[in-house]
Amino acid sequence: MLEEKISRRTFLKATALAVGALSVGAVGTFSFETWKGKRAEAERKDDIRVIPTLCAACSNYCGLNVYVKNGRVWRAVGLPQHPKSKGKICARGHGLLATPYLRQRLTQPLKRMEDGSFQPISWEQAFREIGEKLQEIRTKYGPGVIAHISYSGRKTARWYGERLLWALGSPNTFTHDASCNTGRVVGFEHTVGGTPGTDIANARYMVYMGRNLAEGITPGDVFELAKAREKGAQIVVVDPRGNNMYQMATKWVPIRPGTDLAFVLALAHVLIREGLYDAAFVKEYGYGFEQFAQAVEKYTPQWAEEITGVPAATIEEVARGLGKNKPRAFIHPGWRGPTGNSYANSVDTARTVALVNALLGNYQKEGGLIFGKNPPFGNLDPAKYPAPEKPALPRVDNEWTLPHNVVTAVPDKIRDGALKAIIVNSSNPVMHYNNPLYAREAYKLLELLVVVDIFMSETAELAHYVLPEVSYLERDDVVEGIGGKKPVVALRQQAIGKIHPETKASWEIYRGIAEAAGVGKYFNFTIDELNQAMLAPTGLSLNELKAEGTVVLNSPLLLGTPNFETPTGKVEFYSTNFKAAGFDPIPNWKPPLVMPDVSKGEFRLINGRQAYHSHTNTTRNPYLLALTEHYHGDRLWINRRVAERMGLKEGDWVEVRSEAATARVQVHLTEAIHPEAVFIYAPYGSLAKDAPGRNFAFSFMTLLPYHKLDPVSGIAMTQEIVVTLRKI
Amino acid sequence: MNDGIHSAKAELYRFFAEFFKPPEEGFYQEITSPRFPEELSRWFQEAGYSATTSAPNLRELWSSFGEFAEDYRRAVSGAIHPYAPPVESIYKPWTEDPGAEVPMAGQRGYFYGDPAVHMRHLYDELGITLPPEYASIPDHLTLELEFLAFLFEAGEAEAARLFIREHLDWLGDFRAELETTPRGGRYARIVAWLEELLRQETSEGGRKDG
Repeated sequence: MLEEKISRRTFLKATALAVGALSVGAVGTFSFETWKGKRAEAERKDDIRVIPTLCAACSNYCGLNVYVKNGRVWRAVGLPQHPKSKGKICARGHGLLATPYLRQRLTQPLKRMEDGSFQPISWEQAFREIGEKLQEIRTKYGPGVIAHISYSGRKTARWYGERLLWALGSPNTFTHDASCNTGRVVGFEHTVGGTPGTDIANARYMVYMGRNLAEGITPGDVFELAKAREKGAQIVVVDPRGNNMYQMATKWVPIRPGTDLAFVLALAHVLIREGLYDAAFVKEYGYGFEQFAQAVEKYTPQWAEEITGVPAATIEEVARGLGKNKPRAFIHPGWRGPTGNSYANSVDTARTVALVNALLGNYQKEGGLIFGKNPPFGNLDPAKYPAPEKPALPRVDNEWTLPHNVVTAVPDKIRDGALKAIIVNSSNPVMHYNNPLYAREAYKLLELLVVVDIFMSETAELAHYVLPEVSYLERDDVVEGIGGKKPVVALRQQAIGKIHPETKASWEIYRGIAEAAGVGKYFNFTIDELNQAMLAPTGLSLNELKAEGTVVLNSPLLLGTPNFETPTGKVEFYSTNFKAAGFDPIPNWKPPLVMPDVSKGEFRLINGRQAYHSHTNTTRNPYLLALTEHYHGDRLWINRRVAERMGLKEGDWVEVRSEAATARVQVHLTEAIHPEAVFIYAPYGSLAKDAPGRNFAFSFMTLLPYHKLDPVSGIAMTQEIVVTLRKI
Repeated sequence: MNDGIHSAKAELYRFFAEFFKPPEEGFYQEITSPRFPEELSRWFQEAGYSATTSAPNLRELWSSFGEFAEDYRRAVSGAIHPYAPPVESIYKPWTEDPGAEVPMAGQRGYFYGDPAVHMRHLYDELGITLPPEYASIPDHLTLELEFLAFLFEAGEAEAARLFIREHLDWLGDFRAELETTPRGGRYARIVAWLEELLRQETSEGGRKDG
């Protein structure tokens, strides 16, 4: 025997037997190969558990049944009762199942050192130092310099983030919306009181303006669309690009990008001129219709043809199709496209879309637009769980009065010194909300940046502290409500054990920070206690919800009478809120901020969602990136005739130049795009050091001119980009 | 059976396992002490192994504990990316279960693959517990080397060799990855050294286990 042994630690402990009595021979499946061969025998039936939970590939949060075998994800299917998935999951939902097992995941809390490198630290140290720094900053500058940013779909981050900020005395919570659908939200909210859903299956005539259900996928909506199509519905896609939804459409109207407002104003003109609108509905529910009708007199189809490039006859055809099929007809409110965040006129486009729908009298009607019924949620009992007061301080973005928050303004607020400390959760503001180079320089100025994420994002790279979260399959979240014809309650719950032990769920992270920052008394509950309190008014217990995952409440919405939550209680053809905010109360024509000069070889750079990616974080997924490679999904779409005149062939490399930057990309030649536009799918061109997505194409955001925000909504106007191309 | 040989082998594999644990200065001081090469060669002899040509001079390899700890932090701990995970599943197909309907089935590069499930199975069957922080990485190299040490200590030399062939056959891929990982070069040399030792163990002529 050896006389000397070096010091070493033994992690494995033999428990049942003394080491010397290990009985390998008794283990029939000691051999890995034998075990693999006898897998079926070695596994018991109860090795497979089915856990209903929610996907996290996009904001749909579709219901999933996750099959877990030997503690690992084995398969997943859609939950049939979930209104978004209706029993199916998309490619992203399948791809994301790999997330817990990805090697790029963050595994330990990290602290950025003076030389810029990261040092792993304990949670205790991370909480202590973050708590101390928050208190120091609050004492030095006041609580209003602290902000929280999260993805708006992530209710847990939003709920806990707001509670923490309020506890600290700051009102400055932000979501990603100004980079997504704030134009639509502002337009609809101040016109009809909110953004309604669409009753696709029962509609007879539908117009989708830049809304692409086949790629910005909600599986349930695609089913509905197929049903409507089978019943003979007309589906009109108005888009500079013949997007994949065209396969389900009856008509594609290629429109000059940035001119959708002119198109819908002309639709309103035709509906009114030809008496195709629902006069009774407008009389009962409209406010300021006469002023609107007078304003749109000048917006004839001929006028719109000049601006949009869409023949006047097509505009009339679409208007008549809508008018004759009302109220089972609608223009979809859109999401992120022309009504969401693309142009200087996006908000007015959204307002006009809301108003054309009002002309069709389709609100709260079958086949029209429906304000869904939400589940009744409760809250924690403040006697037992003290709740922080909403801070009286004004928000830092209060120069915008119409949107709820303007995350795109954050870089300037940092530069102005109005923000000193930011906690970011499930969001990547440096990459997605402004030109990333502009944003990066601003976020570097913060005295404290804390990022909660599962990957080292562009924002995390700048953080003082990076806190690793568990993935969506390893955690419980706050209960979700989904509005609709029947209210729905859904829950994300832990399906598998933690892969990396030094990762935590968000709710634990907020509690840790709060305790260290001296406001722990507001977090004296578990997430189960919170969820039970929220569920109480629904009559559901948490255990019942955990068993089902998604529950449809038997409390159907009564259609027929709309309730417009505007200042007048009416559809505001004349917006009182816009008037009060100093903006045009009527949505008149407003050109986009920039127009490409075709004679100089300029194009508008437009972008959109791809069916197999959501944001840059899905480009961390090898399976989804393999789809990108297979389908050349990162190529720049260019009109074939234009490209051939430029001497370009499929797959050629070009340099794309805007006033802000240049990028390199391969081209895809196609007839399915307007000749004045080039198109790139949105998720590529990550700037993070370890992100595989950085090897694919470029991010349109890097070409976005520095920091121009819409004065109405604060959106970054992400398609107000003029570019030129040069073959390289 | 030769208890002395098995015990020496167990000690040697625990020595290698120590490199893949969060570094402690005491270990570094011992392996870089002037008398360590001599002790090590005695252990080799005791274990019945010949001298290894790839054995690095550890004192020259890491001039300070800080350097050693920094290599661990950057190259293998996973705290900083990119890194080379010392985990078997990463280098093997995630699962060969024909019923699995997940995108990573059959793919390499993921945690908690079949090797991990089998390692858990072995620990459970043999009454071995592992620390909670390794619950989802039961196929971490440090645990597999400790397990190998257990096998030798239990006198299960044949089983140990089977285990090496089936569960430690990924070290070449790991080494290759270390070689392209920032600060991974010195760890690659440790792995090459371990590989040479394991080759001796599994080659017909290399065995001296009584």
